[in-house]
Amino acid sequence: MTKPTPKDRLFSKEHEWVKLEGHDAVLGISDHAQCSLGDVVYVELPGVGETVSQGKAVGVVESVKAVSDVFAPVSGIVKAVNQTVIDHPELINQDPYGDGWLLVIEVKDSREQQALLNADQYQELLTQEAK
Amino acid sequence: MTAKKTPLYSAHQALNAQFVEFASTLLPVRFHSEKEEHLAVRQAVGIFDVSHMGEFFVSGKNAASFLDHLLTNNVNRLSENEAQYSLLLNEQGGIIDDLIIYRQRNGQFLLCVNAANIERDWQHISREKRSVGDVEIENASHRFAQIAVQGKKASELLRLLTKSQLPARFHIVSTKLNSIETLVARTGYTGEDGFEIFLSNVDAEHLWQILLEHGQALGIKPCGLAARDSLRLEAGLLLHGQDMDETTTPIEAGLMFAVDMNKKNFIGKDALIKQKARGISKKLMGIRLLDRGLARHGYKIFNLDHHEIGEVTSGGLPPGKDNAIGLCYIAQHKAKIGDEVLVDIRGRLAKAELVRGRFIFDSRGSNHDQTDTKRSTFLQRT
Repeated sequence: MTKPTPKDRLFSKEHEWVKLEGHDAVLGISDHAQCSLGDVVYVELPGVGETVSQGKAVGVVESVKAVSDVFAPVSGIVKAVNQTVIDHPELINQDPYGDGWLLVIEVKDSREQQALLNADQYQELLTQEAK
Repeated sequence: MTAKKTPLYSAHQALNAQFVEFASTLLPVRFHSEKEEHLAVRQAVGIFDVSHMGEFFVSGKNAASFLDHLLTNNVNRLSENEAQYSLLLNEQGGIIDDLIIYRQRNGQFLLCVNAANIERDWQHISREKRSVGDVEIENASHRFAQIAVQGKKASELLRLLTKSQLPARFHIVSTKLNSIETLVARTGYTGEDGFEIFLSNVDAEHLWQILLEHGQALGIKPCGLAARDSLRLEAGLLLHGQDMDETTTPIEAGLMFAVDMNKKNFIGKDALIKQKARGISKKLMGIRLLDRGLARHGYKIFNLDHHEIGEVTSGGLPPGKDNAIGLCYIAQHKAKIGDEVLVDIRGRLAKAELVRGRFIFDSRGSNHDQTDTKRSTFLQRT
């Protein structure tokens, strides 16, 4: 049932992913995160142009059972918001690494990415957490 | 204390269930998607492991009169094989638990109580029993597994497993399902037709597999606690410990349909008479969000002048619906059904309206007076 962890992006310890495309970073939550939340029924995201800081909450993903903050893996300015996911939060469950993306952030400082995990390290983190 | 496992634990594991600890028991919170599980019950059939629930047997010459004093509803109105929704109150009229009582063939009664309250209920009942003779009580919770089969096609499914007649609504029969000894009750906690099947621990996994197998063509889904919660909320059924507890009375919780005030006496009656005369301070109502968002347990409710008037006790977003729903307590005379109010969702004030706490037949978004329907859910004999 679990989807493979894609190798083309970086992960935070709080289970967000970022995919870097030039100066932009697409942000979403991992398959593990959506699995533990259960069916997502509500998403709250910042507006375009808002500033976000690494490690700070940028939005909320709610499932039937839990409210979960989404933390920004990188600092920058919100360039795009996925309106489709606001209207259809189930996309986060169906396609967390694709159509379930949340934001595009214009990255301020690429050095921040050193704090993030690659796919293998993230997989290792999940194995550790499962113990 | 380590969490208990139900006899179905390994069966759930094999289905990749996600577990949660509830009432000191590891139970599936979801198998795949709580949304699909919820809809399976509304449209076809779903099965739930409810082995955590408690089962008490009460027997003996004075069993009926003992229970009639102990519980709020009228036990003497129960025919053989009939069930009744009832409440266990303390002397202050506070709700210790809500339960279903079944009158069995041999003059024995079965009480099905909430898992989280087994110890508290048992303590209360044992203490009350001391002053009465000719009553035997047994806490059989550890011996019994329980599987709930709920949904429009629940009876169709059970008919595949037995030739004998299925019980009528709010009745119980002792029958064999595919050669497994069971007690089949036509009760539930979803707002749909359905059954709650009591059986020995050792047979639980066998029956679970048989149900899944035979239910396949009907669109059966194994369901977890998340779906159980969203279904009961949509049906306007209260959860003890969340929507009411020992500090709430049936008058406040809107449960007086399960209280027979004409009975000579029962524990808590005096307190209810006094509260009726004095008036209540809060009242349970339904709430529907008009803005986006979810109202959750503990969220505060304000009137349009921003005065706090109440608190949400349960909330959720039923699958396929646009507006979140919930149950809440509103301070007496501070607002009424139909009023617009505000819910503080983590600092954001979301618009909502107060409605009757039953959402299930509500396809167009308007909430009709469902008081009578709610009564019939618990099917009281009149």
